[in-house]
Amino acid sequence: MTSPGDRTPASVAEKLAGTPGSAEPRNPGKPSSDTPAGVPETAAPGEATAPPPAPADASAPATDGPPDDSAPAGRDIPPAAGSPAGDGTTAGATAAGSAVDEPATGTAAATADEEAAGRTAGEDSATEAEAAAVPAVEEPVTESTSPATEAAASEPVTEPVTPATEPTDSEPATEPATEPLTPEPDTMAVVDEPGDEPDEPVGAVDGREDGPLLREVPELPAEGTTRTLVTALTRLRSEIGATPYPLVMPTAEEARRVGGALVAQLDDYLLPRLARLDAPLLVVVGGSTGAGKSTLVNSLVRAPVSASGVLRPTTRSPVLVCHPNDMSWFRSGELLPGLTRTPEVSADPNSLHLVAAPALGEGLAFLDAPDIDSVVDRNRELAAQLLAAADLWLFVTTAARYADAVPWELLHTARQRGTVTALVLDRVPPEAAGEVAAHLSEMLAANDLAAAPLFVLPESDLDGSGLLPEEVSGPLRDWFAHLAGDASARAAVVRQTLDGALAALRPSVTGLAAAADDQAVAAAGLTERVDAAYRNARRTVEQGLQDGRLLRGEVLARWQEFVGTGEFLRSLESRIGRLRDRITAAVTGRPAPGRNLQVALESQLATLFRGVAADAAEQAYTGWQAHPAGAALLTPALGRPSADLPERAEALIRDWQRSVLDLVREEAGDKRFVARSASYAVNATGLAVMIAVFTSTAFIPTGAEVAVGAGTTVAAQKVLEAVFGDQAIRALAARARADLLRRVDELLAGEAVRFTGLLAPALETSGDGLRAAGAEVERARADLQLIGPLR
Amino acid sequence: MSVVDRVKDKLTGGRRIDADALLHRLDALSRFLRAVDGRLPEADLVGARTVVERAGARLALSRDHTVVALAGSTGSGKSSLFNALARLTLSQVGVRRPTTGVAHACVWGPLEDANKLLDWVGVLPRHRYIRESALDGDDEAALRGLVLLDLPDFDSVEQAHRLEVDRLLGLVDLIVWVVDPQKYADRSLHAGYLRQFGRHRDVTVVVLNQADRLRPADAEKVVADLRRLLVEDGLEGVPSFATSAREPALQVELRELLEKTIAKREAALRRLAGDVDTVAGRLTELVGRPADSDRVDRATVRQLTDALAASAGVPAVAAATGQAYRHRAAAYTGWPLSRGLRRLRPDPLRRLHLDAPSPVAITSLPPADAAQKSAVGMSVRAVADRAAESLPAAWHPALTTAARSRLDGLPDALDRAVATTDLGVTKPALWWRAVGVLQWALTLAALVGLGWLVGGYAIRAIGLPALDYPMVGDVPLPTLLLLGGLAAGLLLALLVRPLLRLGARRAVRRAENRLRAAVTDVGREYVVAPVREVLGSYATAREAFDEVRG
Repeated sequence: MTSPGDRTPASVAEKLAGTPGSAEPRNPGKPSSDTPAGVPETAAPGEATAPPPAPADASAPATDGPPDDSAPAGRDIPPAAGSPAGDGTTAGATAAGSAVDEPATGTAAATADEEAAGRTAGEDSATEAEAAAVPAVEEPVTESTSPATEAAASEPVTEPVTPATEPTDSEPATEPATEPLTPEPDTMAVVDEPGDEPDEPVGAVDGREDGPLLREVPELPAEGTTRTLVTALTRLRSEIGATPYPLVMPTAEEARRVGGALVAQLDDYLLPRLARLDAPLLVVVGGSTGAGKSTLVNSLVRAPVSASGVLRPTTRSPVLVCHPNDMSWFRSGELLPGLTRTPEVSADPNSLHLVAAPALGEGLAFLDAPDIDSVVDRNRELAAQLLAAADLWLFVTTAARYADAVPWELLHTARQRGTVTALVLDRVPPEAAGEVAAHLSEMLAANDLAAAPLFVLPESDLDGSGLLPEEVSGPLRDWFAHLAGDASARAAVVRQTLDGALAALRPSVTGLAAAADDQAVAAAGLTERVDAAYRNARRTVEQGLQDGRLLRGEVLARWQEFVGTGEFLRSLESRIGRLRDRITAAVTGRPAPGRNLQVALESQLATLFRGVAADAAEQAYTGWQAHPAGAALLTPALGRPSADLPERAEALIRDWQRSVLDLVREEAGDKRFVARSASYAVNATGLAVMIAVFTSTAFIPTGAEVAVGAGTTVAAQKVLEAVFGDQAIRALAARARADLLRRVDELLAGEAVRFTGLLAPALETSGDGLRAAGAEVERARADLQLIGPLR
Repeated sequence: MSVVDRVKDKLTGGRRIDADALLHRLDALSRFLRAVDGRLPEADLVGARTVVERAGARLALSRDHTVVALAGSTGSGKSSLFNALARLTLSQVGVRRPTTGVAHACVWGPLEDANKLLDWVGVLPRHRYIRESALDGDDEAALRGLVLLDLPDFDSVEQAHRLEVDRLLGLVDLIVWVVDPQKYADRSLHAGYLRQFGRHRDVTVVVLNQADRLRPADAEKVVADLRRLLVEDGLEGVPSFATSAREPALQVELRELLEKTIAKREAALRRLAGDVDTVAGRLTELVGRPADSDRVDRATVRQLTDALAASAGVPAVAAATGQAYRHRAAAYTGWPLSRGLRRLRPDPLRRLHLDAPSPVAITSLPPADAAQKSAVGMSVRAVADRAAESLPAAWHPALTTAARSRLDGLPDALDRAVATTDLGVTKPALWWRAVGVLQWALTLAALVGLGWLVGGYAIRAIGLPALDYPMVGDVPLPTLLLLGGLAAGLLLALLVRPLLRLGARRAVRRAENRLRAAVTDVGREYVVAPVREVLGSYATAREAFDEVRG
């Protein structure tokens, strides 16, 4: 009866069963075929199909009775292998399923059988039913769930069930659990067959008897492919590091966090793991504060290595327990490079306390992580980091905490990443054991985690040295001992988790790329607002210059001082000016202007420039304030034009006037007949050109108009005509105007840069690099085929 | 405070809470909100509005009842404690998590009185229980007036529970935080909830439930650790002790505390006072030091007037006034024979439609050009900046908006101001008339002389005997009259010229002053007045805020 125990992905289960190579998913319906897709979730389709038969089969072995242990053992992996083939049809079966298939198949089958055997008859039906139900659920999850062998899975799960049927089972409950475990070695031997029974139901359904599943323990991948993947990962890491998210946007904060977590995972786990696939398996024990993680770790290694206490939170710095032979690997610092290794307990959260425990099997190490939800923020961050670096998550929760929101978020992450997970429900009051365990199983199933093995540990008094009693911690210890003893099982676990983690990179990277694109889009939008404001300013200046009325007043007076030699000419010019204006008004219907402003041209222009710059700065400021990212970049000083604008505007005007004079001088270069009054003429013509600029834009005086043209322009042009000819005047006027507008453009651009300069980093951000790196990683991962190809 | 009260205060050592003082503070807070309405961003004021509304509702409801809530994470034993305190099994207790999904209420005393209160809090009628009955006799009398709520949890996978808890925590008078040895250091409790209640120390109690599961020595250690965490949260001195739903002996302290609280009947007031303190803390940055005496000083107003005057065309009008003065004077003081020539020219003021001040018609002045508009914009901004110098940053947008609020109507107002100003050249000056009379007299004399000469000539022409002209020296009188009159007339016209120039200059100055005064009035009304209004609101808000702070 697969029952609840069937939660583990076939591969892992198989591994735990100790069978090398038979990829046949123990779990019914685990399409063993290594779907290269390896997407953790996809097992569903194939799996779904498989399950139904499995339970039946599972039950079959069960009914066989205790001897079944060996019976399942008798199964060969090859048949299992066949199943995978059949499962292959369930294309959905993800790599996880496939990976699991290999070694686990046999084991899974074996364990399932064992469990079935272990169960009392009475329960069999019940468990079978459950098993039937479970596999269905498990299949899809297999990949993402822990590798717990069906046996293991079913075992813990059956515990609650067994007590029900076997009242004596609070403690004894563990017995059945142990039972399946013990047979494992046998099943391991039999592993080759695993595909048979448990698989058969599954495989049989899918006609897996195609032949032995040639899923041997995959060889270590070729150097070349690993290296390609490592290169791709390194490139991805540098891409992530090179993508800042400078603008404040809803996606930026999240992206920064995710990016940081990805980089940490790459450094802590993915790269070191790829470098040495055969390194010891790291089991990270994580959970909420007060769940009993430290006590559990101590009990598993039968030595008080991690301090536990009644005050919360207890564990501050993580403790790593391993076999003395593995010490060198963990001490080398390739894994989790950010933590300093210390031989003794320290309060420094950035240190890793290494402890050697000969009682622990070689090839397996436990890491007691800090809690995930206490007030100490550093604990939470560190716990998340450590969980990202684990090969197997041992998640500890209690009867009081199993419905808390924070742990479930982490479980979702584990599922999405395809990490192999096992759950421990700790500190369960005896009277509540059944109900709580059942509820938790329901919740796990509802969250696609049905394949994760669940161990239920009742609340019990600790013995003298603060360890759990033997009978309570026995099943779990045996399970791990089993895992420690079987190299292929360990390898399968490692690969499944590694592959899942690699596969989970793509969606995260896509998210990061989207956030980067958001940044660029937002930056473009903000730039547009600034540009619109300053375009308005330029338009106002253009219109202001076109008006022609800036000419009046002292400009006229100055001109007259230069050119109008006599009062008569002076008054004649004013009169002609007024006459022209009046005629213009009569013709165009606008009211006649009737005043002479006594303001000089320079101050008029200066006022105009300062006004438009202030308006543009304010408009840009308001535009940015309406945008959340822009609002974060604003400083109060940006709402005003820059402090030195008045000086720069005046300097601009003077430069322009000088350039107009130069223009005129250039043109007049070889016209020598204006000898004595050459300077007069240049200045006069210069000023005349200036005035012509303003009036010639909207109303270029032609022959007839010249006579009634602006008084000053007429005289000015008369003089100029004498020197240069009519056409030259117009050309000069146009050039001078263009020059002034060009200088104004520069001035406004300098003002706009105060805003757009803040956007420089964001404008260059783009998600393309990330997407390319992510695709490269995905390709390399597919080539690598960690969890083994089908054939 | 009377002597008795003061002594009592010293003895109890606690802050007495005065209902009147609280009402006064709430009233001040309402005034503050009215004063800043529309000036400050609404998002900053939402908290204050909620408090005012809630306080009003709570104080209108039963003051005899104290609403106590049991809040905590899932599994902490709230429902068990609830049942233990009520000494009845009212709330569902279970091992499945999360258990309680909706709030349950237990009322000590008649239910009818508490119904309105529970309606406001939002507990469904079917979840209300009554505790005190005839069967209990006086056992529960000490707790009469207690409304005990069992809240759902706030940290399970069910989001709806958290929302319900958040809502209810805002409405209750006293909160008892129930924690257990496993979860007492959870971040969701401390960072998510306890830290926000820093100012509600008077109405916060933290109990360590399930203490029967620990050894006494351990329980003490845990309570000490819990107190340490509370200090970090800013809740120093809050009552914290161990309880157990299973051991009646451990519930005594909690019961006594509840009884004391109910007897004092201050919990609701203290809670509201804490709320007002919290809100006041958040509003502090919106109200800074008192605004200095009116910052919109004369220099700024003068700059504003200059810009407005330039854009309204005041210089042009003033110049036209001078010209009109001379034009009109010429009609009186010019040489009569050439007076008519003046009429060929237009009256400058009439050209601008300013000869007869009329408040309705517009003038013929040309509109402002780009440079002048810029100048006006800059000076308006300067007014707002000056006023904003001493106010907190949050008020700057309000000031800028106020300064610009009536900018659209400004050109029209300026035009009207110019049109309605009496420029002082409508009525002819007295001396013009005198000179005019003199001119006419001289002309008359000249005409008389001419007539006389012509008459004499005519008489001689028709053969009558020649007239005898009286002689003045060697010159006959008529000739003298004629030539003298003409010459004197010319001379007078020439002599009057400089006087006219002087008069014109004075007229220009006078017109300019009057126009500037009119423009200043417009500027004050349209630009400075709105800004002063905002400054007034700020002063009112500040005053009210001082009262809120107590």
